[in-house]
Amino acid sequence: MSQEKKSADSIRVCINGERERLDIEPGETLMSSLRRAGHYSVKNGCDEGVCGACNVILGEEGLTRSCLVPAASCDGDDVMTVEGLLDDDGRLHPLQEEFLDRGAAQCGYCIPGVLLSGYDLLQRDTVPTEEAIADALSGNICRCTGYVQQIEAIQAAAERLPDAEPAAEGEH
Amino acid sequence: MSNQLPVEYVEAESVDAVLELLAGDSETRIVAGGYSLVPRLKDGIETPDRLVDISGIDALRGISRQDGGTRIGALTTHDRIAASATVRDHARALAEATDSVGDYQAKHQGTIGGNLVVADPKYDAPAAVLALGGTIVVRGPNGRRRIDAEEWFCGPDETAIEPDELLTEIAIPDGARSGYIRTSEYSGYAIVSVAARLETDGGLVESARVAVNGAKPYPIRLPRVEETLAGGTLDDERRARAADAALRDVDPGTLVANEVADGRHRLGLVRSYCQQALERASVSPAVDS
Ligand SMILES: Cc1cc2nc3c(=O)[nH]c(=O)nc-3n(C[C@@H](O)[C@@H](O)[C@H](O)COP(=O)(O)OP(=O)(O)OC[C@H]3O[C@@H](n4cnc5c(N)ncnc54)[C@H](O)[C@@H]3O)c2cc1C
Ligand code: FES
Ligand code: FES
Repeated sequence: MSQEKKSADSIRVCINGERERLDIEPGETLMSSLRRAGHYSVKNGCDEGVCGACNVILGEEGLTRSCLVPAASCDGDDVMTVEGLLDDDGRLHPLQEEFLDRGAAQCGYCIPGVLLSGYDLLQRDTVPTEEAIADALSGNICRCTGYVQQIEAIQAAAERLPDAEPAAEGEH
Repeated sequence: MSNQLPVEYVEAESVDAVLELLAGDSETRIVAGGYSLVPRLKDGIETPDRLVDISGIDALRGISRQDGGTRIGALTTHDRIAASATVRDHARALAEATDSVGDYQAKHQGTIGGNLVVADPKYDAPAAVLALGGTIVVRGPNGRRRIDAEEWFCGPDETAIEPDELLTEIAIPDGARSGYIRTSEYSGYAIVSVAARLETDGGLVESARVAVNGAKPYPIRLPRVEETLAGGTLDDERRARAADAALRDVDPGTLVANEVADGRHRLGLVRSYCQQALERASVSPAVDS
């Protein structure tokens, strides 16, 4: 491996509101770098962009698969992992409570990624239809639950969230 | 698990900077959304030494009207294209194609440029761009080249771009009805997709362009289908005859066949999607040129 012109060996990121310096190895993805730094809720399900277990919400890009993102490209970015759903007092987000109450998690492996897909959806659409939720989860593979409870949980969480009024439609 | 991507990573700030980095260096690869390239790097299908990230070059993003057509920057994502009223009004088949991208993140992160450079038989935009008669604009060391979609999709795993060129935009001409349809496989990719563009005058079809992806290893036009439509009226009977002609346009010997669908299955899909794409195009609003 040539060491010439090696790219930066660390990046500054803000993970769930906390500034952090992440070591990066040359040629590493964001997923790999996050996991080495102990952010294990970012799962490595397939390592090839298919399963959504490694989802994070990344700066301006929004919801993405951290296994497809070069770590070196994230310098200065905000990163949200599933821990970012907790409020300041460490209480669970309504999405998480609904997932627990409705048995929407079984083995749990896919859940951080699914919760972030659900959270991302609720940021855009406070009254999502079942179809919109299914579409939002099209990038997540869950081998246990069959998705039904997950869709119901996201819908129930949407109803509990404060600004779940009929949103102005049409603007994109 | 680390070190799956090239060691060197550069963020380019301008088109000129990209061209400089590509010049004379076949081991440098452009990355836009990364949704096609990164899996290929991880599989070792491609092993470049350096990535040039173009995603920060805003001049390559966006949709506008230009010279009686629609211009779409290379970095524009599928979701932006699908949501664009301009594209829906003037290049409907492409709006429908980008809207079909079956995976939420791929739809929001994947770019039209990356999609057309790879032009996999499973991808959605290629058939639409080919049927719509799009032009792909690239820049390289010798300046700008405008490449017709027909020359662009030139072989299996091959498009007309050179390693030292950057795709900057695509241009879609106005003036037709169009429509797109595809099947989804379990992972959200298309198995077969068909797009149709109909130039009509009153009830008559003046000319037709129909393209399929997922039949051959690269997207192709269906000349016999197009001939069957040209000069005729658009009715169920004509559409059915045109769809039958698709069976003669696709050489059974070169059909894509894999674990998802064998050649025979694909051929059946080509015919039935041909008919459906034509139905969609027939009822889509006509665009004035
Ligand atoms: C889980 C999953 C599901 C998917 N589903 C679909 C689907 O349903 N339909 C579909 O069509 N696609 C699908 N895709 C493929 C998706 O990756 C492409 O649609 C996307 O548009 C690729 O764009 P990108 O910006 O990510 O390309 P990249 O991965 O960044 O680039 C791909 C290739 O193009 C080159 N390139 C990129 N931009 C330029 C440019 N401007 N000039 C020159 N070269 C360039 C790169 O060097 C690279 O070789 C899916 C992908 C995944 C991971
Ligand atoms: S680990 Fe990234 S999508 Fe599966
Ligand atoms: S709960 Fe096991 S994979 Fe989803």
